[in-house]
Amino acid sequence: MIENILNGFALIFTMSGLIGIGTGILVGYVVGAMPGLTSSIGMALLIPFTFGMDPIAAIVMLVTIYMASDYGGAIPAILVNAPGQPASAVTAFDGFAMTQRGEAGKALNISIMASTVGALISIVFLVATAQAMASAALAFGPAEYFALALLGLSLIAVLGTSSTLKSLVGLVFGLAIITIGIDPISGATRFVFHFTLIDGIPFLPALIGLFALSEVFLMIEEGNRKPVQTRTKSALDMSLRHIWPFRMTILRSSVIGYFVGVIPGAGATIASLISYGISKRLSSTSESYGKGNPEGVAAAESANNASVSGALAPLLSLGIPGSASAAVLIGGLTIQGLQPGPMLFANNPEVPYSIFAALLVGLPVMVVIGFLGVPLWVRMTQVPRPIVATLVTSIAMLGAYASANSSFEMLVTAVFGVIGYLLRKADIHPAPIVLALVLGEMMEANLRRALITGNESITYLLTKPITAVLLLMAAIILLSPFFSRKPAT
Amino acid sequence: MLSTRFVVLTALGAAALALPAAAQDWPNGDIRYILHVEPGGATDVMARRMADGLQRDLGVNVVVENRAGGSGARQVAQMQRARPDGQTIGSVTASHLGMFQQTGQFDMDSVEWACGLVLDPYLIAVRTDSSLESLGDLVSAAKENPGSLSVAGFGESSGGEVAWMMFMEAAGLEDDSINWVPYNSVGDGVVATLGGHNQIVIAYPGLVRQHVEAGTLRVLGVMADERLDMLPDSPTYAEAGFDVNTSWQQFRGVIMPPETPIEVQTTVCNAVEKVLETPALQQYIADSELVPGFMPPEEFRAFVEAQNELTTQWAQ
Repeated sequence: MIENILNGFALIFTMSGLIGIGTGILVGYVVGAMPGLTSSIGMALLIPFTFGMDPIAAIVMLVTIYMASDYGGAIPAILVNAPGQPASAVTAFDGFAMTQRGEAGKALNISIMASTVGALISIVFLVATAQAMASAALAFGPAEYFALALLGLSLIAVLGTSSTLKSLVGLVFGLAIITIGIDPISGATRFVFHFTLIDGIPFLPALIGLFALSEVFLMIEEGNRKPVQTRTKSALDMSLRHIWPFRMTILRSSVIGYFVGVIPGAGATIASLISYGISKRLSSTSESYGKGNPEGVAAAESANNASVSGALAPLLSLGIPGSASAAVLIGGLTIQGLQPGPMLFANNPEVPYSIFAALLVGLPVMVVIGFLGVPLWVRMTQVPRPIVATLVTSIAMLGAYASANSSFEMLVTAVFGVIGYLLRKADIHPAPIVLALVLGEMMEANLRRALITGNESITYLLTKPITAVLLLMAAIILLSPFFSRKPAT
Repeated sequence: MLSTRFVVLTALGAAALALPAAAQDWPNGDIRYILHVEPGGATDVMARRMADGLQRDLGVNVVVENRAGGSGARQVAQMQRARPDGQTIGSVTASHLGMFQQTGQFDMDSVEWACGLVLDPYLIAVRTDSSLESLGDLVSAAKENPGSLSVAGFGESSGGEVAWMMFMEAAGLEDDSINWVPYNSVGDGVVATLGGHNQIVIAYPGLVRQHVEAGTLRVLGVMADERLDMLPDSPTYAEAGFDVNTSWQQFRGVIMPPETPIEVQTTVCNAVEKVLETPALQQYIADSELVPGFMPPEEFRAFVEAQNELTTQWAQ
C-alpha cells in the first residue's frame, strides 16, 4: 500500500505530470465558475487533447479538473447567486446571503477552507477504502435509490428556505416538470408537444434560469442602488478561526459527502443537500440557516468536494462511474488503452495510485489559486449593478447554450428566469424546485423498477434493510417540524 | 476588363458552389462530425478517435459537435439542415431506430445510411453465485416459478429488449414469466445485476468481460454464430440449445444528410474504412471488446432496414 502510494507520487512528479495537474486545476477552476459548464463538460472538452499525452499526465489532468471545478462552482454562487455547478446551488443559500450582507470575502474564504478540508478527508477515505467500497456501491439497487431520493425530498421540511407549505408547492411544481419527456420505464412520451422536449426540460438551463436569471430580474427591479459595502479588509484571510467553530459540521459533512459520492448516480448535489439539511437540523443556530449562516456554506462545500473522491471509489474498484464526470474519466482512460473495471487494481495499479497522488498534490495548488482569487472576486462585488446584471445575463445565456450547443437551452433559461422571479415574488424559493428536478427521475424510475422486480408488491421495498432504514429516516425528517419544540420555520 | 474578368470568375465560382459536390472534390474544406451522444461515452470516444484519424489522412479539420438529446432526434434535425455534400457526417447507433418508433417525427429516409463501423453482440449473464448454470436452467426456473426472476437491460423496446424477447420466444417462455426491468443504460443494468438486485442481465461483451475475469459474473449465452475470442469459455445461444437470429446486433455507423449522392457516400466511406484499418483504431476496437464490422453504403442500409423491421415487429 505505502509502496504503491510512493510509486504514485514518483509517477506524477515528472514534468508532464505536474503540468497536467497545474492545467487541470486551472481549467477546473474556470470551468467550475462558469454556470452551464459542468466538470463533466470541461473534462470532455479536454479529452481530444489527451490523445497524444502520456497516460498518467492525461489522467491526472482530468482528475484535477474534476476536483477543482467542484470548488470553482461556489464562486459565482456566493457572488451573484448563480451556481457554477449544480451542487453549488446549496452553497448559494447562505453564501449569497452573506454577500448581500457585505461578507463576500468571508464566505469565499470559508468555502475554500471547507472545500479543502472536505477534499482532504475524502481523499484519505478513498485511499483507505476504495477497494472495500465496491460492495457499498453495489448495495444500491432500485429500491434503495427510491428510498434515498425520498430521503432527499423529505429535506424540504428542514431546508426552511420558505414556509413548509410554500416549499411543498415548489416541490410539486418541480415534480410536475419531471413528468415532461420520455417515460423512463415504458418509453412513452409525456407532454412532448415538440420533439425538442423529448428528453424533458434540460436541468442545467432550468437551474441557471431559476437562480441566476431570476436574480438579475430582482436586481433590475431594485434599480441602480449602491453596491453593498464589502469589508475588503477580510478579503485575504487564511486564518483557520473562520472554520474552527464549524469543525464538527465540516467533519460530518465530509464523511456524508464521501459516502453519498460512493453511491453511483447520487452525486455532489445530493451530498450537499443532505449534509446541509442534517447540519441545520443539528445546529443551535438553525433559524439563521439560509439567511447567511457561514456554517451552511461550510456544510455544503465540504460535502460536495468530498463527494468527488467518493465517486472515484466505484470507478477504480469496479469500473462503475459514480457521476457524469466519472463517466467521462472512464472515456479518458479507455482512450489511453486502460480498462477501468474490477481488474484495474490488479492489472494497472499505477493508475489508481497516481490518481491518489494527483489529488493530494493538486489540493494545495487548488488552495493557493483559490485564495489568490478571493481579493479579485471580492472587488467584483463593488462593480455597479447594471454592469453585474448585464454580465450575469450574458454568462447565464452563454452557459445555457454551452450546456448542449443549442439555442433551445437559452429559451429554457429565459422561461425559467421569469418563473423563478414570479415564484420569488410569491416567496417560494427555487431550492425545493431544484431538489425535485435532481431527485424526481431517480425517485420515479427506481420505484417503478423496484415494483417490476417485486411483482408490483409495495411490501417488497420493506423487505430490504437499507431501503427500510432510509424510508424510516425520511419519515422522521418529514414529520420532525411538527414535533419540534422550536417553532417550525 | 479586369472587372469583367472578376465578375465572370465570381459567377463561375458561384456556379461551382451551387452544383452538387462531386465525389472527387471531397473533402472540400472542414468536415463536421455531428454526434447524437454526450461527450465522454463510448460512442463519443470512438467518434473522436475516427475524427482524429480522418484529420490526419485528409489534411482538413474534422470538427466533432455533440448534439445529444431525444435519442438522436436533435442530431437528425441538425443533419437535415446540413448540405448533402459529404462535408457533414453523423454518428448512428441502434438507438436511432427506437427514436423513430417513439417520435414518429423521423424515419429511415430522414438520413442516408452511409457506412457501418463496428458490431456489438448481445449476451446473457448472471452472477457467479447464481444457481443458474446455463440457459436451460434459466428457462426451467422461469417455467417453475413465473415472476421469480427479473432481467436487467437498457430501456423499453430497445435493441436489448428485442434481443431478450427473441430469446424468450425461442425458449417458449411466456412474456411475463421473467420481469424485464428497464435501466437508463446497459451499464446500469450490469451494476444492478452485480449487486443482486436482478438475477439476469442482457449486455455487451465489453461491459462484462472484466467481471467475468474477476469471477463475479458468468455468461450463459452469447448471441453470435461463434464463440468470442475475449470470452472463449462462454457458449453461443446455439451451443446452449437455442435457435435465435444472430444477425440482431448493436451497431455503430455513419449517417449523412438526406440526398447525399451515393458516389459521395462511397468516397467518404472509403476514407472511413482506411481509418478503421489503422493500428490505432484496430487497437481501440480490440481494447473496447468490439467486433469489427465495416459495411459500405448499400450493405449498411440493407442491414439497418432489416434491424428496423425487427424493431417495428417486436415493438408491437
